[in-house]
Amino acid sequence: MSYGCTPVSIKEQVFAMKKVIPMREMRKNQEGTIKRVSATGEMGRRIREMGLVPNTHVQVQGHAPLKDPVAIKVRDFVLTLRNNEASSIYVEVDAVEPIKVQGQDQEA
Amino acid sequence: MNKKITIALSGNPNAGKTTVFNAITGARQHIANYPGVTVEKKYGVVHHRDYDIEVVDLPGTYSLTAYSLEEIVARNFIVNERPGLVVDIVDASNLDRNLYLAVQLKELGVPLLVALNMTDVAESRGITIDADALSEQFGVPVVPMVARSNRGIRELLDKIVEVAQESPEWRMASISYGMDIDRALDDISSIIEKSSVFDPKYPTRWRALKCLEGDSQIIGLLQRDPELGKAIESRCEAIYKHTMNTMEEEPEGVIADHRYGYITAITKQVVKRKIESRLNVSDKMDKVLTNRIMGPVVMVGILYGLYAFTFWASEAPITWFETFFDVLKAGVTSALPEGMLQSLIVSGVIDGVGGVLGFVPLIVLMFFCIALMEDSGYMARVAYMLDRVLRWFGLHGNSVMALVISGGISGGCAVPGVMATRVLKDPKERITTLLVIPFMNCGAKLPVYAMLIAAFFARDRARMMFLLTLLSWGFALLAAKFIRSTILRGPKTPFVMELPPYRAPTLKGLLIHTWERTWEYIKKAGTIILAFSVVLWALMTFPVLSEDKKAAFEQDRIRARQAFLASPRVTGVIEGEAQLTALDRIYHTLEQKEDIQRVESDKTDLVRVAQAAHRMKGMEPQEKEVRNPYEPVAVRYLELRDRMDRIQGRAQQAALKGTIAGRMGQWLEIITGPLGFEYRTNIALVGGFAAKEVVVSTLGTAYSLGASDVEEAGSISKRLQQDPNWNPLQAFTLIVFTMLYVPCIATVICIRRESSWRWALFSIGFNLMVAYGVSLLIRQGGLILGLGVS
Repeated sequence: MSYGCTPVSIKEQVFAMKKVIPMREMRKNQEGTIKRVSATGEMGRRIREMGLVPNTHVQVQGHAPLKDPVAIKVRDFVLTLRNNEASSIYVEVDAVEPIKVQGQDQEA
Repeated sequence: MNKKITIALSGNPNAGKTTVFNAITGARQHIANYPGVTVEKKYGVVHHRDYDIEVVDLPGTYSLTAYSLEEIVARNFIVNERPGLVVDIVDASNLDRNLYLAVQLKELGVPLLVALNMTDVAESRGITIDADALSEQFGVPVVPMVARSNRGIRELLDKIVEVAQESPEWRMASISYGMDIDRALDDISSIIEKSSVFDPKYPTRWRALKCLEGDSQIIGLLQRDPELGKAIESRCEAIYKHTMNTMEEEPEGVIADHRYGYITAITKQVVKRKIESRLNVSDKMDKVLTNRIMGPVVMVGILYGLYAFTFWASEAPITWFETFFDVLKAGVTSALPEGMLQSLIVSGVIDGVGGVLGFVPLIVLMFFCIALMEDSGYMARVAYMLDRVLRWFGLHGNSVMALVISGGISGGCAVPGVMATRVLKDPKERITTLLVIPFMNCGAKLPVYAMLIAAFFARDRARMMFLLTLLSWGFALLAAKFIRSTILRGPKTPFVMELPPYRAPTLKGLLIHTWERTWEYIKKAGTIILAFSVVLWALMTFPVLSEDKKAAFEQDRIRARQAFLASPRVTGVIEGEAQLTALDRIYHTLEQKEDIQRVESDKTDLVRVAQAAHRMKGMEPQEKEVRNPYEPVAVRYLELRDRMDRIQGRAQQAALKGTIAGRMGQWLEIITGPLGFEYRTNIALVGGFAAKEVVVSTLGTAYSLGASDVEEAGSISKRLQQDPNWNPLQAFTLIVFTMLYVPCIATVICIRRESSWRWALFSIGFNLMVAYGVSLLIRQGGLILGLGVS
């Protein structure tokens, strides 16, 4: 297992046509692989113990009626996260089409 | 002599741990609390092949950290009680995440057995697991099973006995967490071993690992040796800086990543996937059930459907219960001589307990519906859909569970609801949830609602209940917002929650769930409520009316009867007190719809009068045209009965007002006057502090004591309907007041246990204030709008 991350902000990294974005910006049905989890403390632990660790494949299953929380499919089960929690998970998305970063909705 | 072995069941929530436990122990279950905490401990004994296996059900957890009470309880049990074996129930359809707990159990070193449950679900999703390979790779025995259909239970028990015969030692697994962490682990281990707090009960390397994870409980234990504490702290800080610099991760994160790395390495070899089936049945159902538009619509529909069903299905059994208690009361009344004992048993015990038990069918169905939602996995979807809303009010999606169990779907109970707040990690969110839980419509309030709705809103039962549910949610949420923006301000905690796959609940599971909660309710009826009914009966009976006052009422009665006998038309038909008493008896027989001719064939005149009176009762004066000479007498007789009733009513009212409860109730009228509550309602509300059901039974007692004719009054609903002081507005005010006014004693005690006396007392005061304010608005607002004037 590699932690091939540099101290530079991962958000800017581009892996050969693939883009790393916060999970919050992923759209419904979009898939990708977790590259880094920046959450620490309790939130970091909760996220990791549910299996959201680097090199894990995830797919956005949908959003709650008020667009938050988000439901994601990971390791054969469905997990829900609030948008601000999803912001701390960076995912290398399997981009087949150019990614439109949607407007930052919800909480300021 | 059988050999004894203790095993502990552990596993993730939703891995089927309860099903396995039920399948193993059947009905031989006991429930207690883990010492010192309120986490429920279930245990049972099963006999298998010369062994008495004691099975302890540990709380369902994802991990073994010190962040949550359940996890601490689980690992303390393993470390301190040292069970012979831990059976980890693992969901085969979700192997990776379920093994995360198993890895931590391996780290702890306890003898472990993996029960690979739900292999059928896994197979239906194209996932095949080679159990032997898993056993070999993971280094623990693995038993595949389907607990739902009892497959593999026998094999599991066989394996448990087999392992027990070897009586294995504790052996800590050596998992690598990367060079840096491993080296730090060795360092810290050697420091601990040389220290004074070295304890062979805890594996040393495991304690070292917990130090790196920042585990407050273990670090606290080690810091009893201050020097050791310092040495460990500096080592931990160094490794923290190192991992942050090189990997941008805390040591805790690195450890978690390696655990999953270890798991993935194994599962890659032992799990075979036939097809990459992205959407299973559960996912397809979620496409509709959590859809942005359809989801909420379906949710409201399901909740409303559950009420409609519950009320529809419970109607008949409730009538049977009522009839049963009426018969019982009549039996006791005729079997016992009139007096204090009869009064105690009929008015105190049967009315009190019967009023509560009469609603058991409703409660059973409500609990059944809640169990259905929980066991099917739909409850988690409700939390998911409502989290955004709850967060706005300063609560957490998981507060939904506590609120729903407390009565978010009417019929819950605040006591388990209070306990369910333990899933909330943040103390502010938890206490806020605790404080608003008593606003929910718990099962004990349902009898109060049902009684008042039957009396004043009979045509809109389901709609009214639905409105009350919305109201209680509204009040609870607004109160939460208020609390979170005043006395308990603070940030929000994470919402990382599993949406378990939908499962058809097993009937056995549903019945056990329903029975546990119903039994809780019945026990309450048999103990607290019985005791309180007797105390209240005493409060409402003593001190009794003084002799000269009694005599004065008796004088009034005699005077009325003499005036009747002396009036024109009556003389000649009814002569003397003896005949009048006979007429009373005949009239009473007639009211009971029994055959008079057979009983009183020789008293034709009296029978004719009684029949005429019975026919004319309730007619308007102009309708009462005279058709035979008995009818004028009958009119007079009815007038006499009215007068006697009024005297009786005055006497009993005077008696009740003179009792301790009556005085308390009257004194409270100063406060409750603006709400329109007179002393009988006040007495009932005071009683409701013991348990809300008591409101109905006390109103019943208060009104049956004060009513003119106990037999005629019928049910309390009918009685209130006839009372001029009562109208829909008054009933609605009382409903809302009951919804909000105060948590019952049991709840207060639980709140205290989950927080402190300060919060428990605050909860009483806060609830009372909210209830008073809201009820005042409703009543006075209603009066201004001209509602409720009958």
